[in-house]
Amino acid sequence: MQDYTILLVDDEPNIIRSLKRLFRSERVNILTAENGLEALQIVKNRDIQVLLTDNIMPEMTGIELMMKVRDCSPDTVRIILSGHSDIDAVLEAVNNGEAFRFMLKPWNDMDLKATVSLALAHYKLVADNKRMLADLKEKEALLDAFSKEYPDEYKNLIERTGSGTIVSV
Amino acid sequence: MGNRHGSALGERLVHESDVQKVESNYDKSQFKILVVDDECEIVDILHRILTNEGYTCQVCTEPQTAREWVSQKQFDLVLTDIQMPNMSGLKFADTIRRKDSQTQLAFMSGNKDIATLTTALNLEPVGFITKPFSQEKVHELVQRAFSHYCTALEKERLQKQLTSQLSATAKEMEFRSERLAAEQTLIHGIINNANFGMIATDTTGAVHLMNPLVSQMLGMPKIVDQSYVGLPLAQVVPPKIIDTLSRLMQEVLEDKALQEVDCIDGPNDTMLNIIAYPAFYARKISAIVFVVHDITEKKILQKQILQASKLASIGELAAGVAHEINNPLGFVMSNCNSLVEYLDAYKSYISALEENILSENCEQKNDTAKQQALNLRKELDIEYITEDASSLLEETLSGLKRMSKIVADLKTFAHADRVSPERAQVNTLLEDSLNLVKNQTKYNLEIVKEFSELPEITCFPNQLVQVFTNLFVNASHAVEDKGTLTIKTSASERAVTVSITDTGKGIPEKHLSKIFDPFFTTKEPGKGTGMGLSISHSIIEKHGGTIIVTSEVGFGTTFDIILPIQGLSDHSENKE
Repeated sequence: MQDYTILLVDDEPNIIRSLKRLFRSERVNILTAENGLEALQIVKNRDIQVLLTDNIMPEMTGIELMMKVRDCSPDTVRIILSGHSDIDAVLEAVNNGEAFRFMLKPWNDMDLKATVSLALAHYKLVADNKRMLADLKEKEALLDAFSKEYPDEYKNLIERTGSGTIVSV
Repeated sequence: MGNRHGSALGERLVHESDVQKVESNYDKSQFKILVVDDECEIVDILHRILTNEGYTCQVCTEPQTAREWVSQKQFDLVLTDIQMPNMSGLKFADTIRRKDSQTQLAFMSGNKDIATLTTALNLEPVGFITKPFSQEKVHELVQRAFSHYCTALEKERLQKQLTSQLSATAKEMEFRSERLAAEQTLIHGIINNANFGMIATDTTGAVHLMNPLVSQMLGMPKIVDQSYVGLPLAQVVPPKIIDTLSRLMQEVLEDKALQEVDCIDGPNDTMLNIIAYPAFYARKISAIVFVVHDITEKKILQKQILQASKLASIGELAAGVAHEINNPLGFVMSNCNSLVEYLDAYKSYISALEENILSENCEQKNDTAKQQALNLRKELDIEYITEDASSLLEETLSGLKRMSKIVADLKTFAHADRVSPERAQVNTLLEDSLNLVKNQTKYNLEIVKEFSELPEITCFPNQLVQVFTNLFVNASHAVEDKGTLTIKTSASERAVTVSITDTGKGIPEKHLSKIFDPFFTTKEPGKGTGMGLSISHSIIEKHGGTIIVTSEVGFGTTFDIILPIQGLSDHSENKE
C-alpha cells in the first residue's frame, strides 16, 4: 500500500497530527495541508488516492475543495471529516462534491481507518476497471485491424468459437 | 347727584329715541282714527289736522252711526266728544271698551265736571282734551296714541318672534338632548363592553364612572346601579389596590401626564397593568382615568417565549459549540488510541529486553541479544514513539482544556435565570461573548475593540452576554463574505454605552421598526427564530437601559446599548 497517498486537510494542526498518528501504522504516504488552496496545489502536483478533508475552514470549505479536486483529479476518492453535522452540508457534499463518505468528528479510529481502506479499495477498483477497459479497447482495435487484413481467417475464428465474443487473440 | 340725574336723563333719552325708532317702523296711514262729534266744524278741523299728519281718519257726527261703524270695523283710536245729543260720548266709549280693549279711547269735552271726568278716566282713555283745544294738544294726544299703538304692535311682533324663537330653541334642545342621550348610551356601551377595566374619578378621588370589568378585575362586588358615584375611591375599590391607585393619582396630578404601573394587586395575585391619565377640561385636570388590563396571561406567555427563545438560542449556540467541541474531542480520542498503541509497543519492547537481560545465557549471546533488541526497536518504531509521545500528550491536554473552557462557558449561559444581580464589567462580558461565538465569527468578521475604562454595573451578566452574543451572531450573518465588527464602549456618570457596529448589508428602513418584534425575521427558514432581538430588547429594558438601532442599507448597522450603572433595582427583579 506504500504506493498510495492520502492527503489530510484541516485548519487545526492537532487534528492533522492525530490523524498522522492514526495512519502511521498503515503503509500509506501521508501528505497534509492546512487549507483548501494548499491542498489543491498538492492535488495538482501529486497523485492523490484519497482526500480526507475538514469542511469548515477559512478561505475555502471542504466541499468547495472537493468540487475543485473532482474537476482536476476525478479519481481521487473524497471523504469529508466534519465537526458540523448539519444536513445541508451532508447533502451538498454528496451532490456537489460527490463525496465517498461524510464522516463526523469526533471519529472512531477503527471506522475511519476502515473507511479510508474502503476508499483505497474503491480507488483501486476504479483504477483497475479503467485499466482493463483501456486494455480491452486496445485489443478490440487490434482485432478490428486483424479482421480487415485477414477477413477469411477472422470469419473462421468467429465460427469456431460459436459466438461473437473474443476475449483474447 | 347731578351725575345721577344726568344718567337718568340719558336713559330716558335713549328710551325715547327707541320709541321713535319703533314708530318709524310703522306706517301712520295704517293708524285708523274715528272722530265722533256732533259739531261739524270740529270734526272737519280734526279730520284735516289728522289727515295732514298722515293718519287715516274717519269722522262721524252721529254717535249711533259711529257705534255701527265700530261694530263692523276695527279702529285704533276713537276720539269722541262727551256731550252729544242722542248718546253720550261716555256711553259710546263704554260700548267700545266692552267690545275690545285694543281700541284706544280719547275724549274731548268742554265740560270739566269731576263726575264726568272720573267716569271718563275709568274707561282708561289715552287722553282727554278740553275744548276749545289747540292743534298742538290734538297732535300730542294722537301722537301718544300712535306711540301706544306702535308699542303694542311691536310688543306683539316681539312676542311672536320670541315665541317662535323659543319653540325653535326648545326643538333644538330636544334634539340635542336626544343626541346627548344617544351619545351617552354609546359611550356607556363602549365603556361597559370594553375589554379593559376603567374607573374615572375627579381630582379629589371621588368616583364618577366605572365599568363592570374593572370590578371583576379588582375583585369588587358586582356593580348593580350607579351607587358608587361620588364615593371616594377608597370606599369603592378593595384595600389591596388603593395604595397603588392613590399613588398613580398623585403622580398624575403632579406630572400632569400619563402614569403606568404593573402590579400584582389583583384578586388571587393576578397581574394588572394600570394606566392612569389626566382628562383635561379648559386646560385643567378635570378627571383621572384609570385603565386596567389583566396581564397575567400575557406575562406567562412572555415568560414562555423568553424560555423558548433561550432554548432556541441555546440550540443555535449548540450547533456552533458542537463544532468547537468535536474538533478537540476528535483528536483527543484518536490520540488516546495512538497512546495505547505506543504503550503496547513499549510493553513488547520492554518485555523483550527483560527477557534478554534476565535469561541465563545473556552474556554469551550478548551480541545477538543486542541485535535482536535493535531490530525490535526499529520494528516497533520506538524512536518515533518516544519522540512523539510527549507532544501527543501535550496536544491532548490542550484539547481537553479547550473543551472544559467551552463547557464552563455553556454553564454560565444555562444558569442565566437562577442568579441574582451581580456587579460586572461590561468589557469583560463583551470578551466572554466574543469567545462564545468565536467559531461563528472567526471566518468572516474582523473584530475591532475600542474599549474604554468602565465602572462595574449592576446586572445579570449572563443575560447581557446573551444580548451581546446575539448581536455578534447577527453581525456575522449580516456580513455575508467579510466585514468588520467594531465594538466601542464608553462611560458617563450614570450609564455605560456599548456600540456594536458591523459593515454588513444593513437593515431596510421598513424593517427597522419591526426588528425588536417577537418572531420577526428576515433570515431564511431554520436560520433564525426571530426571537433574538426581541429578547435582547426585553433584557436591556429589564436592566433599565435602552437599545437603539441605526442602519444604512449597504453600509452596515449599529446597535447602541445604554445601560444605567445602577439600572437594576433588586426589588423589581425578585418578583420575576
